[in-house]
Amino acid sequence: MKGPVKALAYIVLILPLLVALFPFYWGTVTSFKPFNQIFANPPIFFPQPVVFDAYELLFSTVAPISLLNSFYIAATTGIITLVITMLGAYALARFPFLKGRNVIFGYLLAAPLFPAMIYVISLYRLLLGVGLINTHMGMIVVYTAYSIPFSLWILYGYFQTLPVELEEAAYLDGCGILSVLRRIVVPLSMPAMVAAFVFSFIVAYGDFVYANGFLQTTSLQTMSVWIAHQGGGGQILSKPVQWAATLGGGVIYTIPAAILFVFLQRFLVSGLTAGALKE
Amino acid sequence: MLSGENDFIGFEGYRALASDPIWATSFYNSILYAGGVLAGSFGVGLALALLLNESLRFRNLMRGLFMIPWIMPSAVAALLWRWMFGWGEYSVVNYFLYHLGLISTQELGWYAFGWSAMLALIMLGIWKTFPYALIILLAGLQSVPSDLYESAKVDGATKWSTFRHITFPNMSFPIALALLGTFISSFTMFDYSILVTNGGPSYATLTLSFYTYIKAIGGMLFGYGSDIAVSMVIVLIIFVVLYIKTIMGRRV
Repeated sequence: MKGPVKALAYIVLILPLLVALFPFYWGTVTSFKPFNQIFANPPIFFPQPVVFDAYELLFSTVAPISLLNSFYIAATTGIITLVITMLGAYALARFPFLKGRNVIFGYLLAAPLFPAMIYVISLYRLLLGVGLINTHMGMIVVYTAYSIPFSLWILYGYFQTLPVELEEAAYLDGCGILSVLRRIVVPLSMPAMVAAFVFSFIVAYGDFVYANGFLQTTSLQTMSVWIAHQGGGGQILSKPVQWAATLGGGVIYTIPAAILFVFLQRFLVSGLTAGALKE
Repeated sequence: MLSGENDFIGFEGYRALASDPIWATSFYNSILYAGGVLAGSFGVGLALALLLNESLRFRNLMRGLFMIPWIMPSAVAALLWRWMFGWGEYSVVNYFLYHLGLISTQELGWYAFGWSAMLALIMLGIWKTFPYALIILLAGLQSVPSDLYESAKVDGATKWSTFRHITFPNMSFPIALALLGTFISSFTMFDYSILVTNGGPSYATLTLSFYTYIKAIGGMLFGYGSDIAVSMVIVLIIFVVLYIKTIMGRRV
C-alpha cells in the first residue's frame, strides 16, 4: 500500500480499537476514582487523584476467596485435562489401527455445539445423584469434560508433526509407552501442552453458566458468581464505593485470563478451524 | 420427576409449549439477538480482517488487543455493560451519544424499554463475538496463495475484481465457519440475558436458554425446561449439521 492509503488504514483501525478497549478501560478507571467522582456528570475519564478505596473494600469482602476458588478449579481442570488429553491424543496420533477413532472425532466435533443449558439441566440431576452438586470436585469434572475436545485436538495435531523415528528408536531401546511419553513426547511438545492447559484453564476460569447452576454456598462460589450477585440496581447510587469495588473485582478477575491467553494464541486458529471451539 | 415417577407423557409438554406466550417471546428474542449479533460481528470482523491483512506495523499487537473482549469472562462483560448503559444521566454511553447529537437527552434509560434493552444486548454480543469472526477470517485471508494475487496483478486486475474472483472464492470455508459458529453460540445465549437485564423489561430480552433455566433450575420443572431446550435444539440442529459438514469437507 502507498503512504496515504496506509495512513488511512491506521486511522480506520484505531477508532474500532478504541471502541473495543473502552469498556475495560472505563471499568478500570472507575475502580480507581475517589467516591465523589464515580457518578460525576460530565464523566471523568482520567481520575485525579488515583485512590485505592475500592480495592480496600474489595479485599474485605468474600471476593478474594471467590477468586481463589476460580483459580483452584481452573488450575485443577487444566492439569487433569492435560493428562487425559495427552494420553488420548497420543493414542489417536500413533495408533491409527485403533477402532472407534471416527466416533471420537465425531464426538470432538459435535459435543461443544450443543447449548450449555442442555448440559446444565442433565448434569444438575446427574451431579445431584452422585453427590457432587455444590462441590468444587463436581465443577472440575464438568469443566474437564467440556474442555477435552479442544485440548485433544491441539495435542493430536501437534503430535502428528513430531518425527516418529525418535519414538521408534526409544521403543527399540526397550522403553515402554509411558516412558516414551515422559522422555520424548512431553519435552518435545511443550508449546502445545501449555496451550492445552491454558485453554482449559480459561474455560473453567471464566465460566458463569455451570458455576451459577451448580454452586450454591457463598464460600464455594467462583468469581463470576460473586460479580453476578453484587447489587446493580438504583441503590448503587448511594454506595459508589461498593460499585467501584465490584468493577475492581471484574478488573482483577480479567487480567490473568488476558495474560495467559498469549500462550494460546499460536494454536488458536488451528483449534478454531478444526471446529473444536465455537465462539 | 425427582420423586422417581417417570411417567411417559408423550407430547403433552410440547402442546403446552405451543400455547405458552412467554416461550414464543423468548424464541423470537433468541432469533432477533442471534441475527443482530451475526450481522454485526461478521461485518465488523470482516472489515477489520481485511485491514489487518495488509502489511501494517503493530499488526500483531493490534490483533492481540482486539482479542481482549473475547477473552474477558462474560460476567465481567455483563458488569461493564450495566455500568456503561445503566442509570440514565450516569451512563457514559449516553454522554457520548448526546454530545455527538445522536440522542436528545442524557436521561435515556437503556434497560427501561424493550427495544433499547435488546439493542444494548446485541451491541454487547457484537463487541464480545467479533474477535472470533476476525481471527477466522484473517487466517482465511492469509492462507489464500499469494501467487494467485501475483498473476492477477500481471493480468491487470482491479482491486475489486481481485477480491471478487480470487479472495472471495478462496474464503468460502472461513466465511461459513464464522457465520455458523457465531449463530450457534449467540442463539443459545444465556449469560447476558440473566446478568444484564434479567430478561426484562417484561420478557423483552428473555432468551430460550434463560427461559429453560428459569423453568428447569429455578422452578424445578425439568420436563418443561427440557421441552424448551429441545425446541432450541430443533432450530440449532440445521446449523450444527451444516457446521459439521463444512469442517468435515475441509478435512478431506
